[in-house]
Amino acid sequence: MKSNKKKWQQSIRQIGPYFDLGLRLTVAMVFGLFGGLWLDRKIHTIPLFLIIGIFAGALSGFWSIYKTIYMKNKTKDDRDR
Amino acid sequence: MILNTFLAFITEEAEKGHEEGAGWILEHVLDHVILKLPTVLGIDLSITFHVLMIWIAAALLILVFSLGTRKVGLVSKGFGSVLESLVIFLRDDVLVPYLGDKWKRYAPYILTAFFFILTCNLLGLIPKGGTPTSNINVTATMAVLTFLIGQSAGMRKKGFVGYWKSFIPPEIPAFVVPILFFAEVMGLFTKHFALAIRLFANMIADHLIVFTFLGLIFIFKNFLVALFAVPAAAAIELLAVLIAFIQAYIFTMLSAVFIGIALSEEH
Repeated sequence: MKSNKKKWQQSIRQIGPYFDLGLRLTVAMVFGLFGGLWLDRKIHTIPLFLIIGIFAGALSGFWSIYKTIYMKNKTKDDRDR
Repeated sequence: MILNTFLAFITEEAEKGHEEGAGWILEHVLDHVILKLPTVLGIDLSITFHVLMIWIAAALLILVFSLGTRKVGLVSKGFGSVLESLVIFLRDDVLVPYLGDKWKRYAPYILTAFFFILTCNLLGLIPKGGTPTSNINVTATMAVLTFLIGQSAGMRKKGFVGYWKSFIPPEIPAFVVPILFFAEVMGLFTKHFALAIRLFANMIADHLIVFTFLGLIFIFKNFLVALFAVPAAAAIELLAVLIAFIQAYIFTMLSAVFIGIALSEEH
């Protein structure tokens, strides 16, 4: 019972950095979309910055996911070695 | 923009629901002005229902903690031991693992955020109460606080230039650096934005689901639907109690993770 509780606590602790990966990608794209749209409306260039914004958002979202997974595993591997 | 359309839709539905008798559930999530005050420097100072609920939550917390911690010692007694077990849980599972040695400096903010959000979430579950955390302005303010604390912590530790330098991972070709820096800075904003959206969406969702279930009775105009809708709504309300705790925990955990990332050597 005690060890089960410990295991549960440990998994909760490890899940932390990965918890919001899904939402982070979506929000990054939506953020880029609305940021681009706002800029477009300001300087009348629809749809230039809208498209750039979506791609920038996707790039930022993918990069943060890659970094979280790859970098975390790398530091863990270094520690294990 | 989408949010305004969405809120206008809910308000309209709530007014319709009021006539039909199911709108009361949305009182928990919809804000309305209860005391009109003048606009100063472009800021409307009117007291809304959610502001009142925030004050109630703050007053409750001050009362509970000042009364509850009177008997806290080496071995706490009474209600103090309940508070102590929650604080110890947060210390062992959130503060120490994510913030390391410096956890004591950030403990006041993290703990306050947890108990404040928890109280706000639970206030929405009592009749005639309201959920301040289902207002995007409240959750955005909390996320901005996390953002400011994280940035100032990082800059304090690594210096202004050193902090921004730590965004770029070492051994990266020079031509990728501007793109990565841009992606990193954008990611910095979006992850705090996601923090605000998550709490807001979760807290508004459970009331909307209950509203939808009860609304089914009025849509079908058949009381037999109530045999299904009322137990389902009750089950969702029970789930909402769990969500209130989980969301408060997730917000504080992610706040600690973000502050911890700002403090770490590489991002």
